[in-house]
Amino acid sequence: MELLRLRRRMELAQRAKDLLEEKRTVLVMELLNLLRTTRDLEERLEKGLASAYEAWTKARAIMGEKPLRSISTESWDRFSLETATKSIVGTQVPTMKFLKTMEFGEAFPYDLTTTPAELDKAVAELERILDLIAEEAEVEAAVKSLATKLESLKRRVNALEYIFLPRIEHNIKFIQDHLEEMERESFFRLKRVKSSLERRAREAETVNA
Amino acid sequence: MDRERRRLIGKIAVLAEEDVAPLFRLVGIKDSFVVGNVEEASKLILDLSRREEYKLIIVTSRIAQKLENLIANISTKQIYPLFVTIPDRTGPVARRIEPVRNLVRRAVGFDIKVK
Repeated sequence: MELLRLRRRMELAQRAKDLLEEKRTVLVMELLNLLRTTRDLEERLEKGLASAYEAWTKARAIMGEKPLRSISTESWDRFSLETATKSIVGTQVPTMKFLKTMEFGEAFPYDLTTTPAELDKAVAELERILDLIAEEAEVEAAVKSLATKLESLKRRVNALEYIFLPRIEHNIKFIQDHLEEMERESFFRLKRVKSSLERRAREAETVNA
Repeated sequence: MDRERRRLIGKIAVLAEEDVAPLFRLVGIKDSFVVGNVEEASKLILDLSRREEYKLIIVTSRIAQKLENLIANISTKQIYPLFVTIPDRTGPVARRIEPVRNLVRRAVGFDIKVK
């Protein structure tokens, strides 16, 4: 009875391990995907930012110190962030998106007539890459979550493979050996009983003869 | 049955050098701060992180490098704010692919090659 129960448990554990390993493979593939995305994003981000910085430098060179100082403190609150969560291969990861709450025409922080065109260019370039920044944040957060999940999966697989399953195997073997021994013992006992019965039968015959 | 996905509105903050922060302000991110030294930056980051409304903090690479530990620490304790490092005017960011590879290597047990 115990043996049957143990065998059943081993089968279940084996199946659980296979499932977990499958899940692990899926996670790894998704993680690799994300890493590739992040590299591409970083490249685009770099390019966009470089062009924004270039225009910004030019604009500042043209403008001179005083006008520069006055616009350096100007700011407007034009963006907010919309965050939510989505699920990737069973794990929850954050999403974020820039929301524009004001268009370029409203409440401008500087005077278009007294500033160089390069300034507008710099601002436009930077605005263009804001979405890339949000996406980068998303991907990095996802990578972290998946990597953590992967680590816990690995631990569970290892626990099954190196602790749980061997222990069950060991118990099964122990019981099997024991049963075998008992069987052998009873076999010999039977043999002995049989041979003594035969002896008695023979003796009885010779007496009667 | 469509599950109601909670969409929260949050704020963005930027920590950058003196020559970069104004540009972000002009784009429309009001909370773009100039940080001159590590103490200032640490204090600011801790303060912003404690406030729930800041969900994204953009940091330029030189500053981020100096505050690597602090940022990593905060990121393990709370999901938000998310931190993003962007290149500053001096050039591209140190490849962040490396620490991630280490993470994956530890988690998976073998190394991976990223093209």
